[in-house]
Amino acid sequence: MKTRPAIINRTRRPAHRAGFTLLEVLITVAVLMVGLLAMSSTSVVVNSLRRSASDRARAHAAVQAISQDLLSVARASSEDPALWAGEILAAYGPDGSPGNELPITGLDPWEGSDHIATVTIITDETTTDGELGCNLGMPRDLDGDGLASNSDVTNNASLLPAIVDVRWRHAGGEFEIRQAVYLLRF
Amino acid sequence: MQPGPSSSHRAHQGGFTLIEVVIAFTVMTIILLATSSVLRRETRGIAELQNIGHSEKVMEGAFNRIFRTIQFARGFTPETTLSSTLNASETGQIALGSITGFPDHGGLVVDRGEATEEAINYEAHATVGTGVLTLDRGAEGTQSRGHNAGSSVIWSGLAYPIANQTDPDPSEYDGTTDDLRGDIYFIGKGLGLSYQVPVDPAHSGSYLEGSEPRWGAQVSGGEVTGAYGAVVYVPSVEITEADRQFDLNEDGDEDDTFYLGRVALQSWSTDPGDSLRVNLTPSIILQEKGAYGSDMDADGFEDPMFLWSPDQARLRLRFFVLTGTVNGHEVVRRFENIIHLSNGSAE
Repeated sequence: MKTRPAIINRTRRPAHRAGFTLLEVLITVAVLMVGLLAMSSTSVVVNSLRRSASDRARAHAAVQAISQDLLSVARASSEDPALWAGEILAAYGPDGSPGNELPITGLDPWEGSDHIATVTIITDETTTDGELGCNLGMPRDLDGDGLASNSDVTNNASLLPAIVDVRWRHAGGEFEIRQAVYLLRF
Repeated sequence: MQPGPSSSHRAHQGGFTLIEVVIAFTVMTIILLATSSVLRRETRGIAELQNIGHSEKVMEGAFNRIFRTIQFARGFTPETTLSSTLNASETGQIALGSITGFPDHGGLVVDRGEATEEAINYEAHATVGTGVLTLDRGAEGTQSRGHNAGSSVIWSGLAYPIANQTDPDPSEYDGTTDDLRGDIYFIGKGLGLSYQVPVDPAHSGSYLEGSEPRWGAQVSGGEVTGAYGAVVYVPSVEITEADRQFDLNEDGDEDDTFYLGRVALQSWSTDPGDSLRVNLTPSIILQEKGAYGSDMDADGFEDPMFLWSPDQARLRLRFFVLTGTVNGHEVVRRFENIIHLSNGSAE
């Protein structure tokens, strides 16, 4: 009986000294790898957030630049009511130069689109805010005759509402900024 | 024979062998080193990104400040002629036909586009007569030369589109720049714009004098009628691509020298004590030394920082900013905007 504990010890000892199983080692390594990868991806996430903020700032700047340029074009255009709107459309109309669809350096366009910015100049007094998707106070009088019935004021406009729309893509998301501008004939 | 108590104790304790301990320490050390290396790299990377983000915020703030300052301004196109002959050795004073819109210190370009073209820096307006004082002749790599009375003089800050935008002769312009509305042929270096804004020094509640705006500027003592302001580029530090080991303007070499400078609001009146300068940015804006307004991004177009179109009251701003470094690489970003001056240009 005195030797029994020694026998028990001998049979149990391998169980006590078993060390780590392969599964334990693999789990430990996996946890460590996940931790290291998580740490190493922090700057990627931070950079993505910074790029997102940077793109938004760039888009805001583009909206402001185009809006301000529209005001400059309106100022430089003829004071003649018959020519004024036509000269603005010759710059930012669909057939103008640079036209109503513009690329913006540093921004990626929406899927299926080849441009970032779109300029829409309203020449139809009868169009509605609902149709335009923008709160411009339409329909409204644009040629100063007291009525909102003219479907094309190109030859006698005194006021032209315009919409500047900038759409860009970042990290799988699509973003948009819209701004209304009112162009007044001097 | 019974086993001794000490050998029985050792058998029960098991413990780690020396080799196990050494291996465990080695593995732990490797893991700690790897972790600290990753942490250090990430911390540095995040700090670098924060620097870039900060520079971008600074530039947005500067654009907003410039916009708020000059949106109701009228812009000047400071051009004049020499009212008397200027000798090549003269360093005291230049007599000009007008100093309207010329800042109280800055630079001139005499005989632009001619063989005798010369850049001249000056330190003050003349106190008697119309002109500028304390001259630094032959600046920006030009040579000091004699000039006849009647020679053309423009403020070196000015850059504006030429009238003929359809295939002009190269002698008619200094550069071509890409723009929202297409390519523009222009004259000048594009270092600033001078202006006046409506002021109300007496706080009367009106910015009108009769039916016209009361023109002036904010100077050191407050708003002053008849004062002027300018938004200008001020170079402050010289850097070289060779030192930085980086091609800042992407032209394929590392031979160029640049200024790092800031954008500032400068104002002045007839009283030299009114002179004021307010910095809008730190010194992070790049311009090539001796080639202000040159191509900064190798796209084949010149990049004047300020392009003023008087007929459209349109100011285009374009800055190339050294926003910081990422993994040892310099990051240069282009910032651009357009401002319409609602009170147009001064006659």
